[in-house]
Amino acid sequence: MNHITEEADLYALGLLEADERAEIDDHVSICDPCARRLARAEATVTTMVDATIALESAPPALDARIARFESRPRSAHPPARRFGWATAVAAAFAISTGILTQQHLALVSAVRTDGNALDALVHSHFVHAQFIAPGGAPIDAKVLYERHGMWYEIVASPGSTAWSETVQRRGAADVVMSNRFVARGDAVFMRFSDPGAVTALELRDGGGHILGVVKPQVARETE
Amino acid sequence: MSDMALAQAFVDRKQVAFAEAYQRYRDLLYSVARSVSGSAPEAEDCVHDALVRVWSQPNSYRVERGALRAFLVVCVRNEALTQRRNAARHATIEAKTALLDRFERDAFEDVDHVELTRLRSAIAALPADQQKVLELAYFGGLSQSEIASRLDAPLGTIKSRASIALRKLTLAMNRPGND
Repeated sequence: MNHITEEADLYALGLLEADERAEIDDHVSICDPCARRLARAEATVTTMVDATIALESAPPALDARIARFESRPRSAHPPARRFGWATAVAAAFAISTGILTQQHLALVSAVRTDGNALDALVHSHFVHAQFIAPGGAPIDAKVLYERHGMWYEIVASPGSTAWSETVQRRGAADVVMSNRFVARGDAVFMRFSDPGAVTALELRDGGGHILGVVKPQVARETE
Repeated sequence: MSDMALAQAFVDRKQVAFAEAYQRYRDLLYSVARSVSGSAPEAEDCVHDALVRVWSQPNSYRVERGALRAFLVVCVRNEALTQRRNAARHATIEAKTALLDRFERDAFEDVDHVELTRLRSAIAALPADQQKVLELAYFGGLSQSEIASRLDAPLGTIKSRASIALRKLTLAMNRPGND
């Protein structure tokens, strides 16, 4: 991504969509001038907030949810069969790949609200796989994917509360994540221009621990 | 703990920094979410989800990003706007935010009036087309395309007006003696 200019102002004013913000977050995490530019815009919006918003007390229920998040186990993996997507936990989704970059990836919105995603599902040969916890047990989430790896759709059980689907590059580790948050019951649909680029898909909890992994078996021949 | 020390501890991902940041800014963040969201439970979700996401992504905040307070305010506000827009895609919701309603009725009786007066005079100094975009973006919480549609102007024009307006506001609000 190039340096940001007016995007910093649009970001701070809340005019960008979540996937556009994710690209900027990715960039400002490594670019000092752009981080400072965004900081200036955010400071001005916060000045507007201070001038126009009267303070209300946060409800005790929010305190309790934050306390549960703070006190969550930080080292142990969650028990696989009890994977309930508890309300205090947001899970994260990450894609591990050898060559994937943000430019190779186009996040489309939840499949139910996106005609192109639905069209891709209807007109593709696809396979599916269950996410498997590190202990080897299946968890209540699944990925459907086009057999050449052109798109992936993550779905979770109706009991799922929420998860944050993330695609972000982690230094040289070649993990690409975004930080769009997905609402209850939604699915995540991702389209790729680089077939076979995805070598593994991971679901992670709010502490970054792996809840489940799928290694897609992508067809190499053309249809 | 000073604001700077808290910011550095947050960057270093010390658990105490998360707890301290929440305690210090909980009412502000909740109020920001409440100004955008349709209900108290939604506002609660926004604050929780934004904080969990920020803390779950190690590089999301660093000191170059500016004050932790402003970073979290914008995170929560963006989260609330996204959830509001997602909800609007599935159902008809109240088109006007409480904040826009207050702004239009000039009903800011419970805020810092010195700051409000400074902000009002800074906004009033903007050209009318920039004023309108800024009002719809900040007070109305509308998306770029919604503003473009509302004002019957190209999207690129809306982006430019919003960006220029915020920069002018930054200059005006930082100018000494602007009251």
